[in-house]
Amino acid sequence: MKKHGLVTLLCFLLFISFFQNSFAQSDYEIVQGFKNEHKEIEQQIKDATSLEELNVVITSIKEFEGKYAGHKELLDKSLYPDKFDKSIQKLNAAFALRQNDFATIDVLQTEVIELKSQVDFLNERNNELIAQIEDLKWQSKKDKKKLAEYENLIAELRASIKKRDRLVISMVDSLMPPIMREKAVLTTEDKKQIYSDAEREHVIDNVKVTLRDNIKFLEVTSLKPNDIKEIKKQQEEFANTWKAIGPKLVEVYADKEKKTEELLTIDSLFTYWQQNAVEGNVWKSIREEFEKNDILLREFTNGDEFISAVVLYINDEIKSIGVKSKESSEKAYTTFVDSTWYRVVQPVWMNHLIESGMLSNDDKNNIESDIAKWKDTLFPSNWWIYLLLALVLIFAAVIIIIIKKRKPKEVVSEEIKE
Amino acid sequence: MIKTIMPLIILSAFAACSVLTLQPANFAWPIESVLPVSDEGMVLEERYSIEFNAVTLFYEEFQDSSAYNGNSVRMIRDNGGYYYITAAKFKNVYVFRDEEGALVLHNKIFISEPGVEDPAFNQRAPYIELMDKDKKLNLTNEGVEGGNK
Repeated sequence: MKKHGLVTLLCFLLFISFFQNSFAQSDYEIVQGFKNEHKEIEQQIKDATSLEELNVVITSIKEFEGKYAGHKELLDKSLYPDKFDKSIQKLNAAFALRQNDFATIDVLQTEVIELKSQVDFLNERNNELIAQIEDLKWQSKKDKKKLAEYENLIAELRASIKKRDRLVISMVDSLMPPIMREKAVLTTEDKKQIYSDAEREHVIDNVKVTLRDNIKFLEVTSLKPNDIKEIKKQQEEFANTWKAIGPKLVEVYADKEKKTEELLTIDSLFTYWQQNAVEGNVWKSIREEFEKNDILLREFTNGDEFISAVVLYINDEIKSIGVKSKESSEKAYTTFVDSTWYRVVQPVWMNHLIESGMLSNDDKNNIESDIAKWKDTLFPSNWWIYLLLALVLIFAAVIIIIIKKRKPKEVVSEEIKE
Repeated sequence: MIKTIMPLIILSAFAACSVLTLQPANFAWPIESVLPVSDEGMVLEERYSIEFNAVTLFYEEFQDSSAYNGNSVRMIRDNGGYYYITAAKFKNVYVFRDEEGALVLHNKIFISEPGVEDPAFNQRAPYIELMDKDKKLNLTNEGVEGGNK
């Protein structure tokens, strides 16, 4: 009995000493401990990569609040500028905000799945349209009905491609929520998440298909400067999205060699679409304006080639004046100058060509001075005949006046003789 | 007549000489501050905007003017506005009063010959509690409560 009492006393003393030790903590240590744990929980909230991970933090917040509730008075006085309740509120607010982020990510992922099915449908449809357009392209030159059908198909394809582009941009956009884009370095968890989403939705493939279709569209259609402006806008939009996401995707795929190559392919396709495909379409559209009037110019794909093709055509026509019939030469001139150059090329395309640096003002002036030379050769001016006629008339008038003046003198001299 | 006027004159003279005083005032800091000493020997308390040179304090304690190097001081202010300063290995707690551009020593409270190992101040108005591991002492600006003054 005595022994039992001794053990109880010993346990009590141990408990008291433990209690005293816990009281041996200074106020400063309590406050510092609170501040450090607060920081740690804040960091846990920031670092949470899934809703499950985040839900663990709410338990930590509750435990933290309970642990320091007994020191509320000290903490209210010592924490500056916040107090105890405010500090706990801040943690709860940060938790709610992060929870909202994950809800947004969930919504975005659902959206991506819907987008994918729409993109797949549009990809298939665009392929069909491109094939039909290629078939109709040559038929439309001969058949007016086919031409209308061809133009409708192009409009349909343009709208369809535009719609699909927007979907793909949204898909790329939703692959990485803004909070992830702002991170200087992605965590392993972030990379895993992006990688699995990108793979599941075939985002890389879809971006490639989009770019290829846009290039194909430019190859099979003829556009006007306004269409080109719209395409440039579309390219800017794509460039902005890609600028924000592309480097992060490279980071995600850094250890997947094949995928890294695919990202490089996207970069080169985009560069080609931006630089070569649009310019190529402009020259093709201009060439077709000449072809519509049966003017066959030498092949050109840039400004220098265009100038030399036009100059060569004009010089050939000038040389053939007098060789072929006058009527034929005049018709060639009217078709080139009046029906093509001054009706379409100059008013529709020239501003765009100069503004986009594809031609200079001097190039334009040189071509137009060649056209003027062609006109002068074909329709020579007859000013010298009129001048000669005028001189003859003046000469005749002078002679008549001289003769008239001489006659009365002769009569007077005859009268004197008499 | 003079008997009536004289007390009035004396009273008004007293009134003119008395200093405007705002009472009560409480200067207590809720917790101590742990402040590192800079390479130049300066100590800065940002929350309460106090800065002072601690070189002389370390010299007074250790008779070594470079003893402040790499050290930090623990500081707290009591209700009455006295500053209590000590540091690890100090044998004393120094009590200062502020004056124009200076902290002036008010009292030097001896704690122990080997010096405090891990000191910490707690605000326990009207006292300042000095802790060193499990030992606790209540201090006032006059000395140790119930001990040497």
